[in-house]
Amino acid sequence: MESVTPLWHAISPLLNSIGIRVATDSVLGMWITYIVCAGILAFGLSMLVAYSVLLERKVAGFIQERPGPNRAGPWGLLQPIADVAKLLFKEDIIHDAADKPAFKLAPFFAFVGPVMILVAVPFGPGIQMSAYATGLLMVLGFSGLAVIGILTGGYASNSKFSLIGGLRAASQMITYEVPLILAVLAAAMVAGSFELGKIVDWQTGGLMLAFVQPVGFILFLICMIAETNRTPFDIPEGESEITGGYHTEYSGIRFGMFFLGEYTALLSFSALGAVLFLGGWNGPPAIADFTAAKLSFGIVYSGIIWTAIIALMIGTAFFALRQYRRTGEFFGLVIICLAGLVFIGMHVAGSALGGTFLLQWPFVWLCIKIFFLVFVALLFRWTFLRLRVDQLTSFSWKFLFPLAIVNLFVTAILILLFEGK
Amino acid sequence: MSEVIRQALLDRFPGVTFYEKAIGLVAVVPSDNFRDIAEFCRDDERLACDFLHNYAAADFPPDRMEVFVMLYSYRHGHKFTLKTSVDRAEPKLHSLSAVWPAADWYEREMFDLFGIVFAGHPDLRRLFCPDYWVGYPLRKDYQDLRIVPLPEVMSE
Amino acid sequence: MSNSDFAVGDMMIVNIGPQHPSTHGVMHFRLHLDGEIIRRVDPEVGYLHRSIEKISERRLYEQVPVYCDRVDYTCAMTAVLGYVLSVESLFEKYELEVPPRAWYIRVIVTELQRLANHLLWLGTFALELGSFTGYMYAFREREKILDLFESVAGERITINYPCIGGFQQDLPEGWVELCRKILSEYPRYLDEIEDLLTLNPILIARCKGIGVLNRQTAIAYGITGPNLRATGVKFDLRREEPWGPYPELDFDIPTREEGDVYARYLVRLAETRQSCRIVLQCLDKLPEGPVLAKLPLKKRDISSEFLKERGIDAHIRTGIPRRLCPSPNETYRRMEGPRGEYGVFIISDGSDKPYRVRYRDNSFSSMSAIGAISKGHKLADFIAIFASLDIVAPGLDR
Repeated sequence: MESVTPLWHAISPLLNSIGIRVATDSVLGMWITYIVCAGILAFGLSMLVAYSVLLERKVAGFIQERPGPNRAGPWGLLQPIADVAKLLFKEDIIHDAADKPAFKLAPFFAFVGPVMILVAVPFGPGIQMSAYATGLLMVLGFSGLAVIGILTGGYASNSKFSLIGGLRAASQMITYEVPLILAVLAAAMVAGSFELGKIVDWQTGGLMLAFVQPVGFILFLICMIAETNRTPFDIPEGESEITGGYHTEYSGIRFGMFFLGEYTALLSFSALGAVLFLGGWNGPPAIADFTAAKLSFGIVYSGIIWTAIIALMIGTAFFALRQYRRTGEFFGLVIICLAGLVFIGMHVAGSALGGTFLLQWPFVWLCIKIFFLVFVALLFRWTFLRLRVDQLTSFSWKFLFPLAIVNLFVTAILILLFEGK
Repeated sequence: MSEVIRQALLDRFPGVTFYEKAIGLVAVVPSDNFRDIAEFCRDDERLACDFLHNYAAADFPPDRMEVFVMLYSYRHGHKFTLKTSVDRAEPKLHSLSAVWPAADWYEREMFDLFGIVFAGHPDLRRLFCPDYWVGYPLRKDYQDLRIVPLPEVMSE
Repeated sequence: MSNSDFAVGDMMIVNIGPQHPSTHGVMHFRLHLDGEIIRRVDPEVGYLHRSIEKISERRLYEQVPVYCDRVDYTCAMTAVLGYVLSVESLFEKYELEVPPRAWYIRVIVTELQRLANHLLWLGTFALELGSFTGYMYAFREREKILDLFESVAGERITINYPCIGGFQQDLPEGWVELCRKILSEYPRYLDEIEDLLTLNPILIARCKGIGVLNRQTAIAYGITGPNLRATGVKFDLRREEPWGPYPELDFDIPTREEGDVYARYLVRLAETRQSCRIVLQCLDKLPEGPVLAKLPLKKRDISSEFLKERGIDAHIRTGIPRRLCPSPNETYRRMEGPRGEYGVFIISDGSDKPYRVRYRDNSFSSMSAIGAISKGHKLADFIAIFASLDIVAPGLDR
């Protein structure tokens, strides 16, 4: 496995320092790398997920003008640990009417699918667990695995609320998978590869794909929130309608698997979005790179779209200042705008500094981007209401899907025009 | 105002008697053409009572139960009450649920708590108490076996 | 119900309640679902039936208000006041004269209760539609009003402040200023909530054209209050049958023509602004003076057989306390409660206990109409419709 080598180079000095000597490129080395990776992923991810729950609650507290969790540890920092411990020790109830094997298996599917997405995500130059040439396809395949878990859970619970929740989840996943794939496909076409590492490489020292593929990025953002079943698309678990949806009958750590699975999915999709559209582990590019040839065709397409988007933003801001005087929604808007400005500003500042200093920590850059996307999803959740099931599907089929198709075709034509020679 | 109501009702139903109390004008009507009078109250131009705002019964042992139908007219802005008595041993009345849909649940409630049977009601089931409940709780002589009565002297 | 519990023909039966997050209080609907579309709604009520009417028959007139606040615990102030007004109407004007300050305070607390109730409604409505933030904002405002209640009555929810003849205690010191401060800030905070919700495209998509209640249906089912005004009927008992200082107060009656969920939402929000105006006017006009009328207490007419039966000597009769004993009468006083007509029907028989008490709450009418309104809508719409009608179980079941 070629892709493992850089990782191995990072790990082997560590092993050497504690006295274990394993030859580079040996099978044993590969396996050690895999196990270390799995360990990092399992531990790191579960901590990350737990703390994104805390982040969610803190953001909710901020938006709702309340402190949020602040009792367990300083600033509530131990709250996630307390939450997980509580979930672990709760009684695991499986009721008599449930289809027991399916009931037990379902949470694992819901959890494993999102985790598997991270396998293909490059966390730094060459730091990638498996660099398949078709990594993107694999990721999209795994992202669909979660719905099997939800559907199984809904079916196996033998409860009508769960069943309706499961069916809603299935229809929603199918509906939003299509524009998601089309959006991602357009990005992959621009980058010319299905391999996530290569897509990041394409963005290295150039424009982020979000600037080249603005429509794709926005489509991805919407579909990402829909795929992770979060407000305004959280109808499969719409609390006020079908109590808990597919996880109504679950308790204890099996419920926890669904719950953490949702946040894992949010993190993995954010990671995917960061890699595909926000330049992955790249820091801000140097100014010199802006003259790179890659820019040429992007300018035409994204120029038009970005002008429209900036006009829309100015319009919204104007409307907001007139209409939304001092509101949570307005603050949300301001935060999004500010975050965007800071993000762009850092790129500019980074390039002014020559782009070398900040590029030292690719993983930090990736994390910043991931959490930017997570934060956007959180703001969505705490400022929007829940859609109805038919509005949800018709929004996708009647608006997102045609938009994705048009975007795909425009991208294809532009590629042919500018790079097809 | 109340003269108009009296006159309108008396023109059609000479047997109706009236009295006034804190509740306002009360028309005492016979129970056998109760439904006709109610329908007349709704349809007559001078009465036009489109709004049944309260519909309640009271138990007067040993012989009768009284049913109060409180009506209001959005068109004329007047209100009055129809009152009828039913035999306590076999309380039976014509349902008004076809006249005012609002009466549907009020009648179910009265069936539940007083045991008044409304003929022609589409869905006469107990409203509050479970279906297996024995007795009619708002009757004066109702005694739930689970309630231990206080000694009379203490409750005074 | 002879049907199977799981399905009828092609239709699936889904139980919303008795344990369900959106049935505040305990209610139960059997929905016949065709996919997600509702074909039939069977409301089952009575889970909160506490036989308050029966209890009221066995208590003294002065003791009943303690139960009244449980009739409708989301607006206890008006629930108690409705009973109090009814009892007062059993007496002649000269017998029981409620002082003007008490009337003003009654208006103030009723309107504050309306505000608190509408904010509770707004919060739960937002929650039903998936906006937890709206819920938090509304409850934050409601808390301030509950704080005001706590300082006058010592209770936040099941308040027992009004009593027959006025109030036991005057407003605490500094309360008027505090109330004025909170209410003058209120419209700004309401703007904030409205900015979050009113023009939100998702809220509009969820609410516009949903659960349309036309004027005829509303009147036929006896629906009153904001639900009726949202269908375009400009009917408010504060104008039609005013009591106390209402005729002197300047306020509007907000109405909408559409009769859908969105109209009900807008009417309620507009009403809170009017309530706020009313309270501020009352605070300015609040007269000085006593707050409790002299009650026409009577020595009970205890027959000598009663005493003989119990072996009580006649001389003990002098020690029997004097009680409120209205002469035989029938009364029904209705008032504009937060969710519509709230009235108490009392039959007195000359003794110190009411002969028959019936509480009429608008939840009862709204609930009986819900089957007619929500037929053909989606499951999610049902929740929105149910939430928009402002039905609370205690007022319905009593």
